[in-house]
Amino acid sequence: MTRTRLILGIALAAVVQTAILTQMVMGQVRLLNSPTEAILKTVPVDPRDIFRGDYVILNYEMEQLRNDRVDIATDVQQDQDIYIVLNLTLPFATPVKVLASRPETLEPGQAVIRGSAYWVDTVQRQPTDTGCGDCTSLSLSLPIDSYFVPEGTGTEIEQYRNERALGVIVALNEDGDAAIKGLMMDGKKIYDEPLF
Amino acid sequence: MLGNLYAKRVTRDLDTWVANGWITKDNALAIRTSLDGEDDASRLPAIISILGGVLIAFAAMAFVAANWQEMSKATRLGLLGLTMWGTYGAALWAHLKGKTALAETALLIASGLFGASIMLIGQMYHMPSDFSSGLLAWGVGTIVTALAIKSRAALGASQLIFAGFLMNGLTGSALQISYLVPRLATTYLAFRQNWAPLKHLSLIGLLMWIFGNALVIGDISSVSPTEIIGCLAALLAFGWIFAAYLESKGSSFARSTQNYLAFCLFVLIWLPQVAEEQASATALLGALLATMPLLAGATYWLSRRVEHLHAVDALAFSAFPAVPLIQTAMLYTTDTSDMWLLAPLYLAMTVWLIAYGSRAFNRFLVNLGFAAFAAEVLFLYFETFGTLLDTSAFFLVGGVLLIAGGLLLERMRRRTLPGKPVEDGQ
Repeated sequence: MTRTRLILGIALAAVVQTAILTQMVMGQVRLLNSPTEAILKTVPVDPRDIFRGDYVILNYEMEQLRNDRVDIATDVQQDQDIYIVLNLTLPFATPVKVLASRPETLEPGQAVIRGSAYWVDTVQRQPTDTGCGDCTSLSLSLPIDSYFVPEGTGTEIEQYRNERALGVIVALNEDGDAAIKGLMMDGKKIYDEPLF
Repeated sequence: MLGNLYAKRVTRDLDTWVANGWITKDNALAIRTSLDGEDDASRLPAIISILGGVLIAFAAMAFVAANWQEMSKATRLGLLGLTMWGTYGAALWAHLKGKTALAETALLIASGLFGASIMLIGQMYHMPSDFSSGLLAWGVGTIVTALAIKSRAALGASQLIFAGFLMNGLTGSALQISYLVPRLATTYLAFRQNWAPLKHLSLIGLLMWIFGNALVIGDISSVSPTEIIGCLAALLAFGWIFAAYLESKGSSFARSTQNYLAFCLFVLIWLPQVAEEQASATALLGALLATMPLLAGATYWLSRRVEHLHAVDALAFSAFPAVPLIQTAMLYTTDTSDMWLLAPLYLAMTVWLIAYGSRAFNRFLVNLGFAAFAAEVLFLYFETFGTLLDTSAFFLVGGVLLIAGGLLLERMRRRTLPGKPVEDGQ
């Protein structure tokens, strides 16, 4: 291999890899700059599953939905992307509709977040006092499932989250992509993610 | 160290060969000179350097877990970029100084740092735990290094990363098609760089992809296991015939490819003897039936062009998809698999393999044939006498059979093994 070819080859490898990393960063920065924000309510999970190293696993209240409370479209299928229309209410955003495709228009004060349906249950059961007898229930996952924290502060967040309502501030774009911007506790921002 | 042992052994043998008049003194001298020229001792620092590179790459990845919240994101990003570019600079310097091993080590570290950067950026921006996308991006970046600088270390690393990507993507609910593109790219590069370990890794990766997706098809469709085995057997048999043709054309890796495919095929066609699931997709059965004359025709056609391929081999190659079809037919008619039809067929195939391997001067195929024959006999013994004899008699008879069978097979194997020394592939 000639000297020129070698230099060009190494430069090409370094540039391509840098471009991939830059694309990753800029994609997130663009998303975090989106003016649309929603605050999502987290739910407690088994404490043994909460921490792996220095990040918190985030589970959301809206990851378990039933169509007696939220309108779930009939064409929503398992292992498919889904779009959850949110009312941007305070203190937490509330899901109002689940669709199999991205909605064309949204009402003022609404945003959409994309998730993935991993379980759709349409089996009819006997009605009970508290349950939903003949409705569809949906388990979904959101692509904002982990939050990395400074070493040693995870336990504190875990305690806050299990005792009171922990909110996750999420930036959303028109396609329903989401990125974590920070954490809320009792209406106060406890973590705010800088862009750089 | 192994190289030195080998050199000593050859040097000792050379004296015997010269004394017997098998080689001339000049030939012996040429071989000795060639052995002296192989500087085995110089390989050790290179191996240690590469191992050191692997450790540094791991250290960079372990850095993910460390707390570096004191720095701003911009500082962290700058540090990542600087480290990666610095390592590429070191690789360039080493290459220009003619220190190839050091350069390869630096490229390996750079590839590791690139992967670590992906993980760290994911951590910084709380990106979702999408291992597949991360591994894909890492593999693509690394393969660019392998392509642009013809780096074997980077190519080997990319092969392993893509293997990880495949394993992570085979979830049982979706076919892993996207793996094929990077796999074919790494295979192409492995053959272009003509390095045997990479060729083996490529073939193993390709077989992993085929078998992994076959399992997924079994999970998500109504295709029965025997039909999947039949399809795989037909596919691999076509591959084997094609590899035999390539070998006759002088392709260096064709023999190893045949060995891999033969091994997979003889495992596959053994499976119907223990499978009990009933077939259901008749359309696929029809297609499978059609592959038999196609295989026979292809073998017959190539038998005129490939020296060790005979017209009678057409029968054997077309039998590969037939084994699962026979089992399927038996399950339909009797609702049970009849071992006494499948077992003789399997034994006949192993005998054919020994004959074929002998004709092709392929030691691996001959040994595989004997091993498969012995394993099948042992399987039949366990299946038949396991419930008829009491425990002590079962082990006693089994032991005697094993010793006698082992001696007999070894004697037959030595007689059958090809006299013409041929390397077992690359």
